[in-house]
Amino acid sequence: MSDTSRLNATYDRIVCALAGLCLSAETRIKSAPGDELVIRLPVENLRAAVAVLVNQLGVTHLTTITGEDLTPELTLKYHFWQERGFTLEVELPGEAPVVATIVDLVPGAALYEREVYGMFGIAVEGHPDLQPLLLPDGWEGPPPLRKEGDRD
Amino acid sequence: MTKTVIPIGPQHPLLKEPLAFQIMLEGERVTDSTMRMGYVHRGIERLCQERTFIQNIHLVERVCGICSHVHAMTYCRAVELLLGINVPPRAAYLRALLCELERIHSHLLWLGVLARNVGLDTIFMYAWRDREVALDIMEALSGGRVSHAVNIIGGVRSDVTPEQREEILEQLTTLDRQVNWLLGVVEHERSLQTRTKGVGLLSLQQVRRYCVVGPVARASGLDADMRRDEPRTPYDRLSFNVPMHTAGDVWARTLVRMQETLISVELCRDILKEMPEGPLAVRAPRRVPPGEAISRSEAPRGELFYYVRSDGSDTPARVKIRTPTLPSLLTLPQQLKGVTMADVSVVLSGVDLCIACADR
Repeated sequence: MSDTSRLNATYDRIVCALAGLCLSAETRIKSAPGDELVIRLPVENLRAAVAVLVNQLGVTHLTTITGEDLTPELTLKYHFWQERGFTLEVELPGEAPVVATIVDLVPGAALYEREVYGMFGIAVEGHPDLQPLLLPDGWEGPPPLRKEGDRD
Repeated sequence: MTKTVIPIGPQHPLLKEPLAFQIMLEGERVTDSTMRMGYVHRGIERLCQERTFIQNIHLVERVCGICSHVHAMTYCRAVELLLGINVPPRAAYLRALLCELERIHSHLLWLGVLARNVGLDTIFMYAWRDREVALDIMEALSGGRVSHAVNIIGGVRSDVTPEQREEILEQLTTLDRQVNWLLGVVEHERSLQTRTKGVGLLSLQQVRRYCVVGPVARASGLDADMRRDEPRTPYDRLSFNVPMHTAGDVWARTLVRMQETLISVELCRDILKEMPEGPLAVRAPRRVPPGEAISRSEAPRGELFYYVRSDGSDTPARVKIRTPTLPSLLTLPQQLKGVTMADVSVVLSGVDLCIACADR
């Protein structure tokens, strides 16, 4: 029981710290031992929110960034970990999507941002070395994980 | 001093899988390096969206040729979360047993590769001989040495018979003796220490900054292990240590991995002894309801992450896989800076890269 309340306290702390920046906070993603917290943010607040996490709450571990094409819009999920997992989610327009880099705040994000750039064509503003991570040199097709590239 | 650029890879005897480096040298010292990956990118995340939830078990098992079981298990767990079902305890124990055997196999394989790269062929031969024991056990359990196809959504498909159990316990005794012997050799082998101490240094601060996981992080003093930090059956019922070192060099990584191997042997024994009787699987509903799930486990190289989203159809809408090699790759330029050309092979083998995992 005390373990559960400690974990809930972690979520409370995160939600409190990001209160002014977020659109909504809900425990939405199924996981074990309990559902994981997802905090939805306007994309322009992303850097501010990550800065709060890093500087005020001492969060260091970013597991990865999941991009997803939910035509017409795109989403990015930043999966963090501190005692338990939680996710920051931002929505981007399908046309010419741009997001600000967080590499200066979380250097471990460098490869994940490059992957999102290659696979979804999301420009990551301020990334020191923005090139596709996994695609071959001179790839000309649409970003492979975008729905517009569907064959059928 | 002369400046030289030496390309390593994408095909190179030093690397077992394709990866390309440009090593910038000034005399003998590395001043800078760049890395290019993607040579074994198979588009698995995309393929997952075009196959059914059940077909995907076999696809994700082929992300990695060493830790294949943990991929399939972590994926199945995510789908089970979406379905809202719990696997029976016996299935959870059997899954963990294969996880630990895979860790033994992976770490011994790695020790062999490191020893080979520093010219200690005898350790390579012995480590790979002993690794065969773990492979034999896995073959007896599942029918496959590397791809086990043990996981189904809702549990596992193969059991341990009482005779097999006795036989495996005997094999584990052999493994325990051999790994202890190897650890003794490694601890006292001066040439191995000379080659690995102070090489590939990563401080605790760097490990945190680059979000490194697994044995590489633990060798720099970061206390993180998903088996303990996000405990599930049977790990919440078993007691085990998480070996830690603080030197942050290839030597510390060697010790961490060898000690982990011993702990895994012990865990295998405990799992076999405490495994409850009961069914191997629960019947899983055919329709996966819409929703999202995240599943994490401790693969031999560290935290493995799966995100699965279902839109209610028979194929997942998105499967995201984050393998533990990715953050380690990011630290390579830091680790390579300042080492001599001869030590590049030690640094590259010290992190235990799995390129197929990283490229997916």
